[in-house]
Amino acid sequence: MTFQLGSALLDACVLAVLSRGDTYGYVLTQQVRAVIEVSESALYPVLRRLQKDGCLSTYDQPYQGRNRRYYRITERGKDCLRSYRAQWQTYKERVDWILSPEEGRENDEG
Amino acid sequence: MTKDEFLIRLRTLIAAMPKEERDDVMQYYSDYFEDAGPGKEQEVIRQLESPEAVASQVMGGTLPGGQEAQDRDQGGPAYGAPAQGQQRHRNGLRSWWGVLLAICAAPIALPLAIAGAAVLVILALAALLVIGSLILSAGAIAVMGGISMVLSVALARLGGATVLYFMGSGLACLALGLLAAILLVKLAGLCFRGMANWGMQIVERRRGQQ
Repeated sequence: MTFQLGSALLDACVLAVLSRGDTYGYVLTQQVRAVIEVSESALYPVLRRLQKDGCLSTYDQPYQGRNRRYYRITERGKDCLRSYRAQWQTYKERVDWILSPEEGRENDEG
Repeated sequence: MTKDEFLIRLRTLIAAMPKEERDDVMQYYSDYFEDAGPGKEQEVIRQLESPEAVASQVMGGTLPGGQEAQDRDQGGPAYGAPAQGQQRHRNGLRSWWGVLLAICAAPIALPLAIAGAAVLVILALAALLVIGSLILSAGAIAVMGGISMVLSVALARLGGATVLYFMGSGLACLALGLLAAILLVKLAGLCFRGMANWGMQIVERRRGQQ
């Protein structure tokens, strides 16, 4: 991927996946990696940071004789996600505007 | 490398972490292998790249895009504050150490630096003077050549050959002197531009480091 993914955007993606439902580390990682090229081991620091910031919480559920750790988005995480979505919208519009191949647009605008 | 070898190596690499965090990491990755399912062991290892890569990420190495602090500063939500504070705290610690070392080294380092700077300035002045005097000499030769040409006419009574001699040598001196002066001026310009660039590079590098 040509464009580097900032860590804030990665946070947003993780929160977005979690907002669709609780899940555990492996599935979460595969879902994020399906869309964004990011190294596998990059997800753990993201999850840990989001947890420290109170944007997500964890709980364990027994599965096949061991405990599986699930991640759940918190209210604060949802607020966070809302804010990220708004910022992304603005950012996306600006990038689209400046990259757009329109020829009628004057160069000295804005 | 097997899953167990991978995990054992990872555990060694993160031994410096506090126990609770270390256990969390080990639990996370051990679960990760389990959740991938049987037969996916090597694929997971390929995705994780190496225990070293994981350890480096987990202990706060480069984050994707390497833009952590920058992104937070660009107005991400305030939720980023604790992590950013931690980052600043870590940087603050490093610069405190630097300041302490600088203070201790000052009695020797400061006079040394001043002396060094003085030497550089004096060298530059010396170069300027040398080139300047060479230019003056070249100029003097040119002027003498010109005068010789003019005076050669006054010596007409000594014969045409004399006139030709003085006019010819005068012309040669004029030409050579002018040529030398022009070349020296160009050389001086190059030298000083080079020194100025070098100086700017040093300043920029210092600013970049900060």
